[in-house]
Amino acid sequence: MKAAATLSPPASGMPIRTVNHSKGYFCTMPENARLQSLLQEDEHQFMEALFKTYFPLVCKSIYRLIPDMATAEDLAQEVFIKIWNRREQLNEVYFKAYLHRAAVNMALDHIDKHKRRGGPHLEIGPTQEELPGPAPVVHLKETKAKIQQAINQLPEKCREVFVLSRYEEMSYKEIAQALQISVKTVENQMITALKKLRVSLKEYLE
Amino acid sequence: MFNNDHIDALIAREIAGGLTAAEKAELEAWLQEAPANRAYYEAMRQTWDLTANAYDNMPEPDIASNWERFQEKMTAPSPLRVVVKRRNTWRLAAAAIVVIAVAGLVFTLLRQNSSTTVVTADNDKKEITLPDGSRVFLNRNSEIRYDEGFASKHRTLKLKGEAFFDVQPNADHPFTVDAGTSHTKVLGTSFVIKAYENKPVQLRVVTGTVAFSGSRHTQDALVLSAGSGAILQHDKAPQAVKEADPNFLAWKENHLVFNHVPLYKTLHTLEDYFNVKFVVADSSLLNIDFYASGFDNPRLQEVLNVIMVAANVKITEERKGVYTVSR
Repeated sequence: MKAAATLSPPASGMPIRTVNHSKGYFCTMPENARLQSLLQEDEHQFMEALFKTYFPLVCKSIYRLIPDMATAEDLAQEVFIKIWNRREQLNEVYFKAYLHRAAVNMALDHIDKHKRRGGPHLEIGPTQEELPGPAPVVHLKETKAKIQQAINQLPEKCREVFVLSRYEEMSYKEIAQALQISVKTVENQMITALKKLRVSLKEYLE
Repeated sequence: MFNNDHIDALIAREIAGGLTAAEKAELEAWLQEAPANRAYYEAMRQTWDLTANAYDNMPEPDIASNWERFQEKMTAPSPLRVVVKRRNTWRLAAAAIVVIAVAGLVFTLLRQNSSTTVVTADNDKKEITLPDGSRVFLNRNSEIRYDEGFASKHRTLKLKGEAFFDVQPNADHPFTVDAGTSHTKVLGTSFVIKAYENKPVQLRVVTGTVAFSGSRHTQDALVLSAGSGAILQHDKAPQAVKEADPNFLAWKENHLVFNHVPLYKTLHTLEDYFNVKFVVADSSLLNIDFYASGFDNPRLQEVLNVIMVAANVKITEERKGVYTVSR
């Protein structure tokens, strides 16, 4: 796969999918205007405001693809360093969407490099068959941890597709572009992910 | 029938993509065909729904510490890379530093007899009289170096950090300071240059006239007279600064004044003067504007007490040298 590391903002014609919770892209428009005016006035203050507003968002997007907080933080830092180095070209940028895409690209690129170097694989841990049986009492927090675990155990491409669709709110077309695969493959991987998750999470279903 | 790729694609699109009216009708027809079809679809749908909030409890990154870490990198020259915290990397880096340090020492020893270096430490300021009679006040963490023949053959010196120069007139040899990418050329005048590594070079002229230029030398030289200042961002042309920071010479004069400046500027001034750090969690505090009269030989706690009252904020020492500003 070609590294998807370029920090390019989503093309202006690309539809930004509305987010289904209250903090949608739309509601934060005044925030963007504020950041843009700060960028003109004082780039250090701009950077501080941008960082403090969006660092968690960037970090969490990366974490969902690379479930290790220390690595996610390192990569999130790199995202903001790239932004800082390009601060003179950000005049038209819609920051939230831009940072989100940069975070996803940074994570995918990291996974890619990791693979090429033959480093430790991300999908460690027992396979689905080896997963322990259902616990007698299931707490909500444990459920979430189990679901994360199940997602992390999906095959790499499958997991990327699922996470990008489920949590990064990306359309199949956007995912296909980011991963350099066809929309058809994205759809196939999506169903594969759901089938595998249904098996590994069967104790929580029905 | 269960492994029908086309139906799978329709289900995938229905769940997280989007169906056209025709596709919707097609899927609906398939669902009606057999209860098993609907069960299959429901299983996929339920799995999707189950995963909705899986990451709600994920660890929160610490913004303050990450911002602090980021700030350090922000001031480094581009392009920047994050140093990934892995033990082996550190060991390698440590080995590399030793090699570089040894090489640097050898280099310095070899050159020593041909140049003079004056260095100040973290909590140290120095006043030096140069061979030509010019005086230099060196702020902390700074260094000046000049080669053999200073005064008789040339008047060129290199500066790292911050220094105030009071230059003896000498029309034969212009006095030149190379600091970062900047060149400052004067005849007889006094001025201050702030050129810490990885930060823009700043200049303030106190008396007389100076020519200030960047790495493209004289092409973009700015001629500045008493009372004016300039800033040079790495690799760019120098720019005149309209509003001078009244505290530019605070380190030398031991006098601070805050005349209706926003809090962030005040904090920058204090960070420089007292060699401390401030962490402001709430960015809305940064623009609080306040007045505080002049401080002579200021002590940090005294200044902080005044700011807390004048700007109505709380400032607490989080750990040695790091202060948190909050409401």
